[in-house]
Amino acid sequence: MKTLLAIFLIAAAVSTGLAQDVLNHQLDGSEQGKSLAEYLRSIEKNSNSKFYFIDQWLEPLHFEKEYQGMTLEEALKKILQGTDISFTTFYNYAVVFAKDPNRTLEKMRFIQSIKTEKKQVEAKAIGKKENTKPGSVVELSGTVKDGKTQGPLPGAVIQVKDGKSIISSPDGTFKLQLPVGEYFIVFQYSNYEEKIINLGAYENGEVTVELMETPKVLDEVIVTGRQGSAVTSNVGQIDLKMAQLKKLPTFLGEIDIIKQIQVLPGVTSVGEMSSGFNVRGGGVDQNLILYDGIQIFNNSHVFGFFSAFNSDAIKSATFFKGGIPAEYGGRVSSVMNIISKEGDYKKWSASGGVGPISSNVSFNGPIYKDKTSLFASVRSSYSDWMIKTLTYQNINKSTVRFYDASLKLSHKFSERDKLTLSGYSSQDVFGLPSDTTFAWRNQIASLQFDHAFNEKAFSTITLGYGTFGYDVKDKNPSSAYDLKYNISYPTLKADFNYQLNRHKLNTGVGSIWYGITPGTIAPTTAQSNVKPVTIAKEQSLENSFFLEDEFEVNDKLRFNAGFRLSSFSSLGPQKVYLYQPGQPLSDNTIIDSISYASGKSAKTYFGFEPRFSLVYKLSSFSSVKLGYNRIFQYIHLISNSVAITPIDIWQPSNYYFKPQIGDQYSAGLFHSTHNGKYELSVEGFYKFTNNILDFKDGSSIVLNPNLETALLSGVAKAYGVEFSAKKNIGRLQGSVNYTYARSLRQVRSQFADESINNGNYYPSNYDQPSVVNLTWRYEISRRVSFTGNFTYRTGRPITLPYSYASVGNIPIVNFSDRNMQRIPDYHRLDLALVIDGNHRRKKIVDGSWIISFYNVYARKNVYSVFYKTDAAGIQSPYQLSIVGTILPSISYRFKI
Amino acid sequence: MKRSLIVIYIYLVLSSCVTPYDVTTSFQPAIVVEGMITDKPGPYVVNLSNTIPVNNQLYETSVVQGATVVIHDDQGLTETLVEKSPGSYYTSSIQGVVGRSYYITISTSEGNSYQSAPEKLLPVGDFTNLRYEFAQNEPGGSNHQISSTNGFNIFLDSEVLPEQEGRVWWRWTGTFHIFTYPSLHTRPSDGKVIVQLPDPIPCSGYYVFRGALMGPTGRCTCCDCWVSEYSQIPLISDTRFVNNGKVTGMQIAFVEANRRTLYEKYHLEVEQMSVSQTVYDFWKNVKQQKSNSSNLFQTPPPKTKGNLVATSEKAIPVIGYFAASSVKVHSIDMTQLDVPYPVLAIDTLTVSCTQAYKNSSTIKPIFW
Repeated sequence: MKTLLAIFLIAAAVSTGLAQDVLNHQLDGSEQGKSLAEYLRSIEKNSNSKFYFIDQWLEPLHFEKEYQGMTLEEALKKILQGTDISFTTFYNYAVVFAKDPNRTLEKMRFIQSIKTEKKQVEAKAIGKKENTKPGSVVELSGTVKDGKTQGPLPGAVIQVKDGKSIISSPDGTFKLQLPVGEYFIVFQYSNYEEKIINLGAYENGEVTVELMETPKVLDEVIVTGRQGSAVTSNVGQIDLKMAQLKKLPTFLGEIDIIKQIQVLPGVTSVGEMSSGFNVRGGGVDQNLILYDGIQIFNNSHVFGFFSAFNSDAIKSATFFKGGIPAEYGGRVSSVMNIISKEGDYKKWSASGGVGPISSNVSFNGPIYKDKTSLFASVRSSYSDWMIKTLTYQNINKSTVRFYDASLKLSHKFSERDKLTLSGYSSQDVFGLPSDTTFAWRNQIASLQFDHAFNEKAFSTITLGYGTFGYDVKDKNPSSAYDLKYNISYPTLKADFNYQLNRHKLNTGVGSIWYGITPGTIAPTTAQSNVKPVTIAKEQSLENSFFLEDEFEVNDKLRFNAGFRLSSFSSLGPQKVYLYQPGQPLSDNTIIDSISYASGKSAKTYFGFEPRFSLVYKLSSFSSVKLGYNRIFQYIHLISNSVAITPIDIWQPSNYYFKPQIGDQYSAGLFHSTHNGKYELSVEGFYKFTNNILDFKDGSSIVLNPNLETALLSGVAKAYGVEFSAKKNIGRLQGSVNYTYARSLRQVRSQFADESINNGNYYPSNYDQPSVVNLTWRYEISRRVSFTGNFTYRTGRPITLPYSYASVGNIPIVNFSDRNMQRIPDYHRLDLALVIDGNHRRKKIVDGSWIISFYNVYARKNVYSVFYKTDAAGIQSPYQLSIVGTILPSISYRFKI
Repeated sequence: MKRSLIVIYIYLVLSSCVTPYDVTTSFQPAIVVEGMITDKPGPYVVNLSNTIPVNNQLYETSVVQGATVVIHDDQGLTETLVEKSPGSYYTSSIQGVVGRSYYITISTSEGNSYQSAPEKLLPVGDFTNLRYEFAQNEPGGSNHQISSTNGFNIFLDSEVLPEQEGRVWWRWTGTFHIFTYPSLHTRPSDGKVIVQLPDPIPCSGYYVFRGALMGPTGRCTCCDCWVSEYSQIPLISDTRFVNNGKVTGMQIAFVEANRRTLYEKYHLEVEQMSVSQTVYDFWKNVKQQKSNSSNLFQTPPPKTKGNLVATSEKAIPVIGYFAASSVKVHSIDMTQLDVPYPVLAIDTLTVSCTQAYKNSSTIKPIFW
């Protein structure tokens, strides 16, 4: 089936010689410069052999002098190498040339699809057709650039129709080796318009491809042949589509990248009030979020209602949930790498959005044309003003304010050197009518220097500084206090990329210094009953080195192998308490303490983290993927709630808290059909994490100077399988995924007091075995689309009271074992209508409206169950539903 | 128009709601044990009861009757307790001795058996300087005479013996005298014009004859009551604040000052007890359970199991404690003279005094 004979002619001829003899015919140089067809015909005359072919197939093929001395068979093989023409011998005298129709058919289908979808095709030629050396291989090198900013686009998919597909390197460059000929090459990059080039590759040369960002603010990049990306990307890797995100129903009109992550297979969240997310049964602290290379601690506004990132300021976001490359480290479960937008180097423009809760605006343009550019964005809430208009109860005394802003200043010293200054700041103020205000902020700044040594070697040096902190203030005179927490984390890293034939090497070093002020509480009025407490500062240093190689063994097999070496030191000045051996750690068993001088290491940990991932293409439409990673996590989130809240404590590893060590094995099968119209995938994983921390029953963690007495160390295991189906093309597009996964923990000790549930495995707080996500978009007309999503998750585990008792006139509650009950299942439907502006390319303002309905059937999903002491002194359970009603919203987005 | 839309909108946003959570299905019965032996003369009591479903709004405790409760010591002595009132089992002769260990065994009539961990009766230090300080948080006007945030903070200084290893358990019982007027009880009339008709409570000695209040025919048996109040949160020492065997300035109670609590005087009796590590941990968990609640971001609630275990198969779980403690007792009285503003005379409560307050009794305490 593979090779069909397109045409077969049998001519009657008297045969005296053998075909094999003809093929063994030595080329003497007389063939030089002749076309293949011409030469074969001349041989035919002088022998009894016959060649069967269609002239136009062989027309472009010529003999060059280097064939002299070869047999005809060798020369033919060489000339035909890389073409779709092959030959066979029949009946000893006939040499039949055949053409593989598959490629032709695919090419025709593709051309057909270009026509039907009215795509633009740009024609380009490298070299001159006349200079073509038939049968030779040409090398093309090139760069994929942003057509406006001229910035390189790393990770762009370059797909040669009827051939292989590759991905551009971190500096946007790529290399392609192709047999001489004409090709359709598709260039794709998230949020950018796809570009199809009809490329005549005749000689070695360079090609620069400029992609334009999707002009319609809200349009989705319609990517055909997306199997190029899904089939060849690494296991567990997902490139988030910013444009797609903008079309989904929103929560109060706010476009939210974190919410998009929460609907990916294998990712769950515990409810609305959690910008944090759980990846494959991992904790919310196990996700590394990088913003221009610097980690972010707080990713939410208003206790998690909205993500802290303005989606308009994001250029790309890549998410890894398995097979995490050696480049990343420090968090066990996932990596989200956000790269902010760079300003336009050619002209100024602005965009923005107006929603019911916040508005955002961004500007970008050249400061010096083609040299220096600026991108600045700011998003701010005005909900506070709206709350002040309310007279209902005490609500008008509440305060909810947030803003985030980003700035990127880039300067190109030359084509090869670029310096980028990036800044990001987010801040929240949340005030309760009871005079308590919470304020938290996360700010980072980084300076990045990119240098390309040549087309193959590229380096990046990043120097950054980040700070995360919160401040809780109570102004009520009798209880006035000010509680402060802060982490500052200067970061330095240097990466070096080198491309060597089929190898892409990436290596680098990095250091992060963590300076943590764990907490200070001080009374702020003379009458205040609050006792001042200051917990000693902590400082630690994390160092890392990594080396990885992405090796494209052949067109079918690619693997990425590497390792990361990391170290973490908990440094003085600090005081470590020692506890009575053979006793559970508690305030009562402290026997001594050791003091470490400034800069002295109280404890140092080392980690060796092997990483491996593999992609094997079964065909151009399906692939098998494998991944393994081991990651050390040196900083733990000590949160007394299930979600990330601003009032959390990040605890570095120290004398008592060992680093979490996570091992994950993942495997996946991907298949796409109908030229990428449908995509099916199944991925499975098993993850085991050592040294996770969980609470001792009823422990208190806020301003606890001996946290080791409040926390227990255990192990976590998670396993699951994720099914996903997508339809990428057509008026109705969408995806559905189902995940079955378990997330269990075990905390076992010789002391009953230091075991949880008698040392048995118990479900973690976010163990939600069954998860279904359904997302769709239906184009009603070119300008109007109807989108929606539906989410279902098993209710998460909680600890509930079995009964009450009265002991010594004190009412007490008899609780179940940890996490032995579940809250009701969570499900929710959201719908949105997106109305785009007109589709003319040249218009002053490109605007669109999004009308969105969140929680359409107003389900009161339980977020958490908590206890309030009632009049009888009994702790009664109450459920908190964050959004117990349907929430409509309307927002407007524009681009100038 | 626009503004009202916004208002509706915000209302929706903030309509995240808090409602009682139904835990009916999670009910699992358990037996509750509460008892102790001290170095003071007995009799001592061990109370057995059943746990109550969480959503039982009546909080009716059902007691465990007909069980066999035996106290054992480390010398092999045993004494079987006698159920003198339903669910309350009393000792007759045994007295705790410092240095010995005690435990109890329980067999219920259903055949379940339980046992406590052996508890060593540790000595206890004494406490001094039991004192009160009046704290005025609001004006002492007539608005704040029945229920007030003004009152007495009670402090003491403790001595902690080395054997106690920093663990101290305090309990207090407050007692005050109230006087009520059940004879003046009325009920609304039927008919169109509602008037209050005399409706004396029978124990007042008054009755109604032809619509008129008559009497008294005898002594009022429900006008004079002594109300007991108990510590509502477990009071245990924080071992970090025990310095050189002393706890100074420990606040153990707040006594509300109003026209009822100070009608005659407020009597406060404080016990300081030694306590084993297991019972200390039990109270510590209960205390954390109390302080942890009413917070949306609470840590997993502590389990309050105590020092008893089931010893028969398929026995329903047990919670509670059996303690062996040395006890030191001191008391203190507070009167109207300790309040810097005039306390009004007791108000006219037209109910029986036993109904006016929980834990209210017409029997005059021996110390009164």
